[in-house]
Amino acid sequence: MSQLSKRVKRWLSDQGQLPKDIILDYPRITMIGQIHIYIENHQGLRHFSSDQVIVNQSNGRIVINGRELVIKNLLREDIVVEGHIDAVNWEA
Amino acid sequence: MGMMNQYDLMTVTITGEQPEAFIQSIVDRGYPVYGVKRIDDSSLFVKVSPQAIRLMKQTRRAYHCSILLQEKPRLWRFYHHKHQWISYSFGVVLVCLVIVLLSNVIWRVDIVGGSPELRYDVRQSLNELGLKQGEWVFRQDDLSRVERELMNQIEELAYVGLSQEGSSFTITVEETDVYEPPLNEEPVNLIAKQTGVIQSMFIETGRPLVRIHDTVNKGDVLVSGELEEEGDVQVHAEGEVIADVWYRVQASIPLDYRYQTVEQKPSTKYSLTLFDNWNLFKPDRPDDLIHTSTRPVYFLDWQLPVSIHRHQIHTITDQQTEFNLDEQLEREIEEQLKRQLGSSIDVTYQKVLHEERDSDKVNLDMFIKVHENIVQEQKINQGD
Repeated sequence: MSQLSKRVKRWLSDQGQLPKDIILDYPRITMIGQIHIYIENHQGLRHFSSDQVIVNQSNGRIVINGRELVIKNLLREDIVVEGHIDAVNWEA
Repeated sequence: MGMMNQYDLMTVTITGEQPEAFIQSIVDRGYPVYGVKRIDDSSLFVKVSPQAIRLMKQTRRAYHCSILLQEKPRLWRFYHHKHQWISYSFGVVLVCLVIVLLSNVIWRVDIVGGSPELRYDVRQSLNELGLKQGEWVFRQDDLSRVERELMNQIEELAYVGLSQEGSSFTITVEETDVYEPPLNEEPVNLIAKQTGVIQSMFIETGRPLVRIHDTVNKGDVLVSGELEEEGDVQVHAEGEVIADVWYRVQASIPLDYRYQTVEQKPSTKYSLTLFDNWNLFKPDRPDDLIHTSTRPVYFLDWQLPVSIHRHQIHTITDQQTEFNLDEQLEREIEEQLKRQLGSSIDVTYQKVLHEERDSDKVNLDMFIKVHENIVQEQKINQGD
């Protein structure tokens, strides 16, 4: 059933020119160079330290590695991290 | 939640095993969290609103966290309200201005004593003089001027006293019994004060001794106060006898002279004096007629070292006129006659007997015929 709904959603976003992040409930990530990352539609903060930030998302986690990381804003759906970002990884 | 004001945020240190979950619980309840910074493995800084802190205090035990406010919130917030002093000082200045304004405006004017009619008259005069509610407070010497003006304007006024109490005035008035001169019933004759030919007569009381077209000499009795010849009934003769009277008038009329006209309507200017020393905006019109009234500025009961001057400027213009036209000469002759014989005369005939022109004036020798009331009272001798 969930496979079917996923397919329908993917088909909708492909054919209907609708934004994928909204239809598929994926996070939208905006980065400015290495210094600023903005994640919309996250599912909660899981871990925070100066060199690693882990954010939940709908099917897994986003792991941000870097140095001197600071969470500038943390809202229910948005998070802004600043610092020196080395890598953004996806973990299922 | 809306946008939080940056200055409403407070820095909090969170110490615990899993501060992330604690922060996330705050965020989930709708309170945004800013500036999350790691201190060490077990603690971090966050900036949150005061409402969020209240929530954190309630829920920290569930997450095994402790929280510590970095600054005393109230002091911190006041310190960061950088621009608040502007509004405070603006308010203080405004209040001072209002007090200055109210200290310098006449609050009420009471009139005590006298009859209601007199009080009404006094009120009218005071309004004209500017001593009324809402006007600027007067200075002491202006007050004495007001007293003088009142005494001059209102005849029935026997006494007027002005007392000032802050910005309210009490005017005490006292009424005189109007002096009516007793009717003159003394028996008199009317005699001629000039020699002339009688043109018309109107006798109210008395026995006329002359008729129209009679020529009378100065001192002749015109109307007798004795109603009958050799009679006992004596009255106060009254009446008017208009006669033709001749005059010979010498006049000297300047041909060219200067005079100054004063503008009737003044223009008003205001100036300031600070510390009796510095004058600001003082009008520089040395040639003009300026009436200056000075008003001090009060703050409650204290006189401030500031005074406001009100200048009423009458512009003076120099005029120079030359009389070389005969028409203007005529007019000038008439003026001269009025000046010499009184304004009530009625000139019926005039002839210039001799005219002599100097370089700058004309000397005239004139023959004038006027209609004039020649009546003069003379007491009847009751000695015998």
